[in-house]
Amino acid sequence: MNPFQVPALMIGLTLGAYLLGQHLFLTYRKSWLNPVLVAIVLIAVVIRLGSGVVEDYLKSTQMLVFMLSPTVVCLALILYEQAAALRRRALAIVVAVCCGGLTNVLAGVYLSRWLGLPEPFVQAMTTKAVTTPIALELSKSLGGEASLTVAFVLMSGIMGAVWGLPLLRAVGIKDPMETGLAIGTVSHGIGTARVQQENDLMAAAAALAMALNGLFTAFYLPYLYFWL
Amino acid sequence: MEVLRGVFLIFMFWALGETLTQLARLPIPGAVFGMLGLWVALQFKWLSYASVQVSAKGFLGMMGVFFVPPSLGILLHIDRMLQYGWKLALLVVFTSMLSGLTTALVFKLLNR
Repeated sequence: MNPFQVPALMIGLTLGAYLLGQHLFLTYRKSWLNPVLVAIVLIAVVIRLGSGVVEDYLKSTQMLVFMLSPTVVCLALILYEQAAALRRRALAIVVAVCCGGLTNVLAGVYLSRWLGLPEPFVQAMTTKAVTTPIALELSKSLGGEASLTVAFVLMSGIMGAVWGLPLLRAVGIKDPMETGLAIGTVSHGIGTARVQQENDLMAAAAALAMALNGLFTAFYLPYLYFWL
Repeated sequence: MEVLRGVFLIFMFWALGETLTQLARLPIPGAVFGMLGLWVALQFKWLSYASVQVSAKGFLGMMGVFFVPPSLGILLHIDRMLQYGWKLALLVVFTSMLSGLTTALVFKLLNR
């Protein structure tokens, strides 16, 4: 029997590793003890030690990934709860998120070309700030590599979830709205999952920024990319 | 009963969003439209908050876990990424910081 091909075992491993990560985070309150990051490292170690194949693990845990879509729908609840606070500043939110998203795409393309990265990497840089399902669709319409795209999305997400809050605090950005919008724009769902542990307004701002940046990027990137 | 009804409604909005994107051939995932649709429905009181609350909070509470398996997909590309190691890391960190700060500062400016 190859344990990496048994969904029950792999899903159990994933849930267990995440719970352990959450326990560590709540006990020590260190931002690098992000539960997603802890779980990734633990599972990578288990796969390596058990000489498993990553593809087997991915296939066995498909059911967990499937749950991402209904969870995205559920973010509506957080938006509804904070609607009053968000509506008062709707225009500022839309403009700020669009500026942030566009900065990411333009800086990503020009800097990565300047550093001489190959084109698939340049392309993956443009979709790294949008939520995984949108990034996948965009990569399809740009003719990119799906799994490389996802790898970049996740790097961007994990980075923001782990260092986003401490970095923003360090430069004096403490307002929950500003923090939530910044993290949602850059780190989509992973950042949003992280700030849910902070406060509700921040989580709503992050969820809205994620949705707006995803929508906005999905509309302009297929056209803009060919001009860059 | 309450949980089942909530899950049903959530999946219905997902399905609606999915149908919309397929018919209009939009490059936007159905779940994002589902989210916007559910938000509108709650806002206009077509649906009560209580009808989805328990189920939605359940999904949201587990959100982080659902990101773990796709993240391990990074391992498939680790060799290729290490080839450009520091450049890639630097680029992702720098552009992300620039983008986040732009959002935060533009918002701060507009709210003066």
